[in-house]
Amino acid sequence: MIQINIDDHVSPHPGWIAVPKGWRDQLRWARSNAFRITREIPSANKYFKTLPNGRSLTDLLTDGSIWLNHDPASADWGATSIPHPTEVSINSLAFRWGRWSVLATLVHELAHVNGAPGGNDKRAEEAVLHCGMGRQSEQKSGKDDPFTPYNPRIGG
Amino acid sequence: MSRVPQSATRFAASAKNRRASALLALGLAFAMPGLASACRCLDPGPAAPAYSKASVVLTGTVLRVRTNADATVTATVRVAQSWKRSLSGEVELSTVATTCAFPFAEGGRYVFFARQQPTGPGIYTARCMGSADIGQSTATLEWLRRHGRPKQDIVSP
Repeated sequence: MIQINIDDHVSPHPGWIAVPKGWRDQLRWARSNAFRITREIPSANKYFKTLPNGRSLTDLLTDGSIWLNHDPASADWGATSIPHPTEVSINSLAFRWGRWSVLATLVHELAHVNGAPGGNDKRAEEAVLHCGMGRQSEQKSGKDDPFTPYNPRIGG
Repeated sequence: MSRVPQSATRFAASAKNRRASALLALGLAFAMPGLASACRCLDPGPAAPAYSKASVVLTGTVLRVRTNADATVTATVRVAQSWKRSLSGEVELSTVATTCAFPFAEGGRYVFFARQQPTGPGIYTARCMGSADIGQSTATLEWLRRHGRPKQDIVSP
């Protein structure tokens, strides 16, 4: 299972640290619900297999070499390390928005771990849509519905 | 085909429970349509908030780009104008080694909102700090012209 850094891991990515205690329950909830998504929403695994590394969401979630860290210097939702692509940071903006935002960020970053490009490519965020956290009307219109975690304006 | 599970509608309820931060964030989303960009981050939108968070703002041309041993990328930029701090000639501007990295392109002309490196000297930028191609920055440049202080002109942009 993907690992949450609770001070039992030294991330090789400079500056990334353990997830602060007060936010760990949100991240545990997100991880549990990511597993639920793999059971209840077939499009999730199907979509993940189309990404460059071809792994399913289930496969990624059961991979103990993937670490979820925190970047205290970041004001963003999350990021994936380029030199260490199994190191992910879930950051303050995600936690402040709440657990659904944490779950969407986790799915987005796992899509990067699975090879989804950054930049203006939208495949990582589209993973959030295919995991049932958005509406196709958002994707078609390009307009964000703030009542769903998916945001079609997020690239990379 | 994707769908919205019933439980996903709890996203809204969750946001309500965190009214202060969520309302602020949703307000930003409504107020600044089309401003979120790459990386999982929210673009600061209009120039004012990006300017206030930056330690230096500059326009310039990327002369060279190199990838460092730690996978960060550093661009050598010929400065055209700068605000908040006087910069001249060529400066080095780095970006982070994550999916939030700013995509420097050699020959590209940009408006950069940069901050001091948290550790050590130098400045850096990243996606969602307000930096953008100069061709897409008409409103930002106009805002800087009116409100940016102090400004230093080095060469014609």
